[in-house]
Amino acid sequence: MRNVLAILFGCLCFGFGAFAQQNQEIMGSVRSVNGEPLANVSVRTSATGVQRQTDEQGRYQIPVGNNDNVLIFSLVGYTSQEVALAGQSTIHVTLEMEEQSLDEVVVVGYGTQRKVNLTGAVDRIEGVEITKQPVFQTSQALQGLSPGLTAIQSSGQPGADTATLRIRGVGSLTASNEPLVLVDGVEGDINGVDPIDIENISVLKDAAAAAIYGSRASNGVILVTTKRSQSGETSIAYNNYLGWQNPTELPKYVGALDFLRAVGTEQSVIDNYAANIGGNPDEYPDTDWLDLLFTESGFQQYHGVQVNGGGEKSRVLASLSYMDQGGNIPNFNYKRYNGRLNTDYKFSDKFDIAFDINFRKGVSTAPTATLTEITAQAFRVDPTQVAIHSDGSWGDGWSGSNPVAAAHASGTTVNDYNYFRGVLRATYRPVNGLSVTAMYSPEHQSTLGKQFRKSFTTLTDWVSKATRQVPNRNSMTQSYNQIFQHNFNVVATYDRRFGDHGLTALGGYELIKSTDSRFDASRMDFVLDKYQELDAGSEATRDNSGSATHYGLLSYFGRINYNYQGKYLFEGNIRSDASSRFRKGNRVAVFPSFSVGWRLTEEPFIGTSNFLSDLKLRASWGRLGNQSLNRDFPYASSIVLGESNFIFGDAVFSGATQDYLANALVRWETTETTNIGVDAAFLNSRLSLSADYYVRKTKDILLELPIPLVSGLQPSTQNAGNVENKGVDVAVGWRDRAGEFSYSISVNVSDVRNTVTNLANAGPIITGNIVTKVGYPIGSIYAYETQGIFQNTAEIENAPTQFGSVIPGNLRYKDQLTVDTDGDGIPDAADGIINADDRVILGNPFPRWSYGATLGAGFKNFDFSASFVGVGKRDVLLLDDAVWPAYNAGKVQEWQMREFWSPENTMAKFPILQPTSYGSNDARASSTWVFDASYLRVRNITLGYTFADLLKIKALNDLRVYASVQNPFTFHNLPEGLDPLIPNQSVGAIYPVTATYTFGLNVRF
Amino acid sequence: MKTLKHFSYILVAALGMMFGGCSNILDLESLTEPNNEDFFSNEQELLLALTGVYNTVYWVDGNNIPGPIMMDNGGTDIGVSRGISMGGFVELGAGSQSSSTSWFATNYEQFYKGIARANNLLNNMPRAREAMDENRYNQIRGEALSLRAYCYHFLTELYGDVPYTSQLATSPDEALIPRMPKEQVADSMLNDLQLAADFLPTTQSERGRFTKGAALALQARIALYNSRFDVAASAARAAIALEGEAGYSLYSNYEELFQPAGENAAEVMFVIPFKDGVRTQILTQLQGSRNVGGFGQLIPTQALVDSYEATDGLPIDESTVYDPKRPFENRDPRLQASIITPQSEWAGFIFESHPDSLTYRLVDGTVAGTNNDSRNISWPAAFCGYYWKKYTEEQAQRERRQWSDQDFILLRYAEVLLTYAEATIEAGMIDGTTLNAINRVRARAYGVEVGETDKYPAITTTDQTALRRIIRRERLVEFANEGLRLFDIRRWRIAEKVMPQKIYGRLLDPSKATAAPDIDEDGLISYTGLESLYDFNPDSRFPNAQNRKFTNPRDYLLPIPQAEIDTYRASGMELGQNEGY
Repeated sequence: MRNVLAILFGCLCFGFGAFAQQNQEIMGSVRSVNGEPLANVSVRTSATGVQRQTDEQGRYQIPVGNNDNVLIFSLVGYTSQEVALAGQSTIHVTLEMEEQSLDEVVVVGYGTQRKVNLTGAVDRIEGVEITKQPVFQTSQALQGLSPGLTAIQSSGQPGADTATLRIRGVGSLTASNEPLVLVDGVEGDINGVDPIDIENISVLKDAAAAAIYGSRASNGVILVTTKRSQSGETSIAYNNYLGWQNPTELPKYVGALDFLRAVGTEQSVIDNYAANIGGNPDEYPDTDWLDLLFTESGFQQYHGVQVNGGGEKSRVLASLSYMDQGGNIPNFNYKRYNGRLNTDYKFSDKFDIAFDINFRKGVSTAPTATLTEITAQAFRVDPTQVAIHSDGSWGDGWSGSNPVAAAHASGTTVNDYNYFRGVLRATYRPVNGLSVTAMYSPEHQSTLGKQFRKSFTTLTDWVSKATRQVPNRNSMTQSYNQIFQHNFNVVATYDRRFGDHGLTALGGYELIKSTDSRFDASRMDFVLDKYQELDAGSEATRDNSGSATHYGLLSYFGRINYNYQGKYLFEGNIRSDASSRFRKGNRVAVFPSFSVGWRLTEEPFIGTSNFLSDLKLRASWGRLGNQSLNRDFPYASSIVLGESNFIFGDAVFSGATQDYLANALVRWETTETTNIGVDAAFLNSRLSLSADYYVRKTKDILLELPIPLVSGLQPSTQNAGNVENKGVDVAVGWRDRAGEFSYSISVNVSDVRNTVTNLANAGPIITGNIVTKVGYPIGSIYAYETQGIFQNTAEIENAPTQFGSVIPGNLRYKDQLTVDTDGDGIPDAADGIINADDRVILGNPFPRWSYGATLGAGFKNFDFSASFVGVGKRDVLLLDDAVWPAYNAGKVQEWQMREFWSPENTMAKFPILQPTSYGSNDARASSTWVFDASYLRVRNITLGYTFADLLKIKALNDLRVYASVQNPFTFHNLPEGLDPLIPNQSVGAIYPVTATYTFGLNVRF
Repeated sequence: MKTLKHFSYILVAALGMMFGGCSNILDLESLTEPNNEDFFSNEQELLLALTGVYNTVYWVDGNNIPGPIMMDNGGTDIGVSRGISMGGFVELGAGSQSSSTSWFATNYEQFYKGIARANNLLNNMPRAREAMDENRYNQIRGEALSLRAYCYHFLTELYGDVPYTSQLATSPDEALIPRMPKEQVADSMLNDLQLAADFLPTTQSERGRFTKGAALALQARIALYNSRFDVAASAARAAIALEGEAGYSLYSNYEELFQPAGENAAEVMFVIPFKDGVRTQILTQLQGSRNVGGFGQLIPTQALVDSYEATDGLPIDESTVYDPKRPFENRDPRLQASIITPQSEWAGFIFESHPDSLTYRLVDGTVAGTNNDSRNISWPAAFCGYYWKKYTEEQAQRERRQWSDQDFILLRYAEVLLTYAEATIEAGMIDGTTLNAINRVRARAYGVEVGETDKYPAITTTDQTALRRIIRRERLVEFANEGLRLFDIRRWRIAEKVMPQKIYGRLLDPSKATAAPDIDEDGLISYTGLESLYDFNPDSRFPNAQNRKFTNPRDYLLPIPQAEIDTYRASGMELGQNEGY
């Protein structure tokens, strides 16, 4: 209460401050160190807060009040200066260029580098950019922050709402496309780091920057650096936020009577239904499944405390946080506890150590029924089925499939993830310029999973009160998975300047060994389902399984940086990796890279000016690898035990089979990237520009090329085929201030064009509705091309044979030219039958023209920021319950009633609204169901207020309150109810992405 | 401070030592999987591998519904599924299937998986020959050969000419095997089974393993399917000759044979085994009444109901004892044993499927509740007004339990007898043994001995045409819902006739029926002129279950999976597609 009064009082003071008396004018001029007059310099009085600007000649004039004793001069790109009035009436000032912008340091592989000396494509994202957005998953906050880095969040499920990260497109087919993420130099999970612990993030995009990570770096590298305590600083910060969520989009379905009409129910049945619908909801329901399913507020909260302290010798940063996220569907929850202790101890000028401990516990809870049973069924079960009866009993839904009951009463699945990592880093500097750092980090991860499937009782008949148990038997599975990884490296760095020659050399050794093991056990028939431990289940149904695997990686690496007068920059990297995943002889590979830079503004014939503050050209080439296979021993013809059992008599016998076709020749996938870039700053660094053009060629792609089913084996990974990604990344930023109003705008755009250039004389590779074909992007949409809609039976009779029985209103598929009649090798005639040969490429589900924009503004104590993300071009194929009306006895969406063909609406894009099922003519992947998924989303809007100087509470340094909203608006072209980030080929089993409304508080003592 | 510094040197040195000698982290071996090159070296390993081959007998869907059930309830005239994919056979029935129907690839892959596992075992088992007993060795070899033939027989019947290999591919190119004419594949299968029959013992201590009799039964079936009637007759004769030694007999109660009580019957020769806690199936739920928690999804058609003879041994359109107003009386007992008909007792209640029967009654006559077997109450109810009794576990329905661990029969002795009969009929070798084989099966249907010809309509004619009609009808009703119908209507070339028909349901009001529908020489039942008497479910939500379409000759075979054609094509080879796809 007292604080509130203080705040109110403060506000009043602030209001009256503007009326303070003015009684003197001061004048003068501002110049740069080389004597040039500086225009637009902000001049401000310390107490009254009056502000003026210098003119073209650098001159200013400003009134000062009695309480003013200092003038503050500031200009973007220059160090601001405070000058005591001391009774003077004329004050001339010289401003120095802001050194910081030149000395800005960027974290790179196994070290740091001055930003001006960078020759690779590296983006630095400040921690504050992440913490500005109140999100639990760091990956989400990366949306739109760095050109070339796409973050796609397609689920809103608590704990599973991470974004998929891709750097510069997709290079691989079956091997992973995940970037390598290192947290303080050790491979880790970007979502596991509490955003407030993040100092900055480096995105290493080209091969030159990433090559030092060799075989793991072909998808780019993200380096997360956590905060460390700075010398002498002691503070305690507390941050919190509270929020609520709502799905961004939900489909809207027609009610019971419209539904019955749409599926062609007999009129007498409809009339009877209409007569009873209001009065007898137990037998004539009109169920709004989504309304009954999305009942929760999705409340979420975050609390974090961070303590900074220490002195000359030892420093500590300790942080502890708790987050709790509910969902809009009952029983979804995610809780995370995160702790970090980063300590530094300096023994002497030559020797120091860092000792860090990081732990976290993430507990995700979800109904045991899957999303297929919950959301996909809620998008399917029709309104004439009961969800909850008037006496509170569960309705039987669709033959026992009741998504509302499944969310509430199917029991819960709890995954309890525990992570622990210690890092000990010792650095020794025997002579000036040389340092040797040894690092050892053991890392432990474990997940205890407990999945209890409860049976719930539905009323199958309101009159007889007959019931059904869903499922028939309850069951429980408990699982334990443990991963332990050793990470060890030694890095020696030598950094010296010899006159005009700057040299840094680095050499290192690294070892990683990881072991992964799991087991699970299950039982059924728990008589008392309150006791959810295995012993309480039926012994006759006990079952268990387990397995383990391991891999190792051994590497040597080195780097040389050389610059001449800070003008001409050169960097070379090399890494040699040996992996246990390949057979001896194929095991070792070397990954080199080279890059050069030229800082034109250091040349006397260009130099810096008011207009041009900095200009650098960069070029690089490098080679990277990918060893992310889905199996650890792809080269061995292994016999799998225990997965092919059989029952003889009443006994179970173990089977052994070879499941995979081994490939002894498998080796690294390699990616070569050539990158050309420019970095420039203009208008005293108020305008900055960075642009890159790159060609990323992946060779010997690790592919699970389909092998003939006749082999009876699953394909093993092969090195086949090349993929090329060509793209541009452009980022433009502007920051300035006008009086007390400061603002910044940054916009980034990137595009990547993905082309398969070779499939080892094989291909196209077709899997379902996806094709990979030379000349086209990886994973293109492959389906039938629709040629309008049949309007009458004559059209059907004269058309090529379609699928099954066809009536007017059905889709007409195009019979492509597949027959070569004149023998010239080019098909020139159609065969009269619609079959698999008529499928064509219809789009690309990978986003192109990704863009992001961030607006920031401050006025007095207010801060405002808004960010936007979008995609200019993306296609999605949607199937089943997502877009097909009354599919497989499912229901009908409102837009389908409007936009589907009927004898009155013959120009419709969509076919006749007719129940469809497996094999129906219209219920097939075709161009009719390929949608434009481009979008523009308002990602975040935040408004904050800082009570900095107003609260005269002694210990309180900072108090900021803010309100923030995530995903409030989205503009897109998909049918209503679908979020544009919906995965390609979605059938509706999704947890919708949410909009979040948050209020938060940051305090620092 | 100095101590600390020394400590740090020691620390760095210790870490260095820990990891310095760690280059062996690269020479890792799998923790769970032995290498194929070292395997197959002793009896235990051969048995493990053999069990792996047996595992592919689980040709089932995600609910463990056996493939043969899927064929009967989608791809034939006797059964219908009102929506579920049923291995793609529902699409086959509707004529809307294509080479991209994903189940056709799944089925294809399943059988080739079994073949690959058998080939791997057969090719590598000589490594263990020295280390084990010769009889055991031959027995394992015989089982593997039988299983390989079992897989090829499904492939050839479903897809026609298929790639044939007896080797395990060691590179993708080796698996680019061209299609072999079905005739030649049949040669290989029959040879394998002849060898297997020589190797295999008459009985096995573990129930469920291939025996000499089972190998011969399969050989007889394959020979029959490939019109090698003399081979079929001699293989069946050889199996029948084992009757005493192996203890084969027809189980006295036909209805019970498909309930848990019949699981260990001496008639059963080969099964898909189920066991609680290991693998259970939900046929009872998919076939069962909606009043007791079933889905009523797989349903026998009116055409099947009308195919059962009357008790005078004649088709209903020729019978003098058949009364169109009492269609379920005086009928072959297998009708009521296989199908739950209206007003019959089932699981403690009286089943009634008439759309106007809005409540249903218990056996004692009390009203039990709203009748979910009426489509006016529950639109997906009994599509044709009947449910399958065969493989719907009555006890499970009583308990409203949906799962069952009842085995599904793949080969039984009655088939051996009818195969023998058909083979001798077709080969023109009709004699007393032919009639005896048919009559044993017919007598069992009535629960009597073959000699008690006054208690069942025994067959006496020796006319080939008449017998052909009889044996075909006999197979239809004896094996309904056991998965033999699809291959029968294909090899008899009647699919083009019986498939493109409207699927009618029960008589709405039997009192208005005056005549039985006409049945032609191929067993096709014509409802022309009688349409209004029969129920036709108008609900369009499961369009596949109403009208059937048959494209001749395309629909006599499944399409070769498009994925396979694409894979071959990607390597520059044309596998070839079946006609019309």
